[in-house]
Amino acid sequence: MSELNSIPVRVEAGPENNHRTENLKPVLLQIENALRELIEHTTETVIDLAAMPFSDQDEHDLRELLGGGEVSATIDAFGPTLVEETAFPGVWLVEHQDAERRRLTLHLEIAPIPTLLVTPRDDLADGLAALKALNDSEAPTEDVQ
Amino acid sequence: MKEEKTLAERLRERGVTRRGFMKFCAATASMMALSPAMIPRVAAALQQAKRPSVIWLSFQECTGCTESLTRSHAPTIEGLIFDHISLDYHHTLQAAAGDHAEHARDEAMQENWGKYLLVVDGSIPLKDDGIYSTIAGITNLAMLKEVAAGAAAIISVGTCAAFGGLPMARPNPTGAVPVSEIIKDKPIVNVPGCPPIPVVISGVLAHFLMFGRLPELDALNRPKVFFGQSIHDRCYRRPFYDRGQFAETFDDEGARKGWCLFKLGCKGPITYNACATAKWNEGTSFPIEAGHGCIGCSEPGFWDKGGFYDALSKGTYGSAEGIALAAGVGAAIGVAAALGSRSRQAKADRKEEV
Repeated sequence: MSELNSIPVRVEAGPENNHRTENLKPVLLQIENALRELIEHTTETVIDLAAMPFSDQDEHDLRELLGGGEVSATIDAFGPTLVEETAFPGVWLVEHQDAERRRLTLHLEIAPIPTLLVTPRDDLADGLAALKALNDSEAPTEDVQ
Repeated sequence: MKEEKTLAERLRERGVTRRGFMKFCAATASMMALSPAMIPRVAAALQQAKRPSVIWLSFQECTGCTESLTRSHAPTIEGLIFDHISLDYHHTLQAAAGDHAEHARDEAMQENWGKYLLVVDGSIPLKDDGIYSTIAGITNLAMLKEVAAGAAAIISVGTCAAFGGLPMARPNPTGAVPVSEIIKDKPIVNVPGCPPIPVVISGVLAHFLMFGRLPELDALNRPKVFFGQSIHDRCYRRPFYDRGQFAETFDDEGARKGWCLFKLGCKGPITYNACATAKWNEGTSFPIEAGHGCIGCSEPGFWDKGGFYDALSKGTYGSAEGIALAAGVGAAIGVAAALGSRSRQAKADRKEEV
């Protein structure tokens, strides 16, 4: 990799060259409307940031503005999914990554809890069956003094 | 009898949990530029999606299109979708050869007549009765006609199958033509590119799996969700173009600073594809990010349009496109094109949601 890094091609840095798409403000307004919908009608919203021109600089600005909240979690399913609540309760950043930690999507979820954090109903049934099998098994238990 | 497991069941067998499946659906919806509101519908459709029979015919080609789709190292979205289809014939990939391979093709056609998907890569030679490319003694022309007759739809993968590609470039010694020049009575979707982006190929397959039909197409029969915007519209070097900052040679200061490659012949402004967003090598980069301009490989006749290093502003590339661009180098054209294509994209999205 040192050979690749030695190639002297660098995109210019500096404030004036940071690319912004003008989509940050509309996204913030969309979040505001979505949060209002959630409170008034319990309607949950997902915004796919890959579905619009949204640069790395936009994302950086968005994260700065939204800040960090009380909850963060990692889900390990088909690669990691990083879930972070923002400083605005009910507004979550959900980043899906593949098994090699490359980003698949970046979603904003406006919901009491992101969908993927909720245990699937069928998994509850599977869990109950597994637990019942464990309790019904004849495995010896050690006496505890 | 073919296996009748659904996509969800097959993913479960591979250790993908229910949460993993929902994540797969979210990523698939995003890949296909569908609204996140569609994720539950995507999940419901993929939950029930049966395994479609696919017959893949390779004609005058270099195998780059197959390599593009199969060279992924991790369980990718495109890999999982590709694994789900029943690839009943692909003479490069299948273990069987000779009569056994042709027997497998006949059997798949008979079992799934009228329902199978036909994927073609490579162009078809017509000169001298098509003798320049044969498989098992059958000309490409005869095989295409025979298999297309029972296909539900045809996906022309790669620029050779879609538009003729390199074999059709002047002087076209074999009389090569694209699939659409021969088959006129079947739905055809073109997925051009030299090679095409794997996620675009699997996106078309996923759409067929979910909705039982092909996605909305542009005037060149390309899926709008992937070909609705030009490379230029979504290029990360676009701000340099807007500011008039161009690399003049491949080793000047502008090139080192990553400025726009328009003057070095980049064909991004007239090329429609998803390279700038989907990228290559599992999202690593794309040619412009590596310092080379787009060569326009997903557009018809790109080999014969002129020099890869001639700027569009010279007006020598192709005909109308180059001249039109020469007349209006500047931000205004780019912005107008971007707005137009995004509007088309929005319409495509809306139609899909109905």
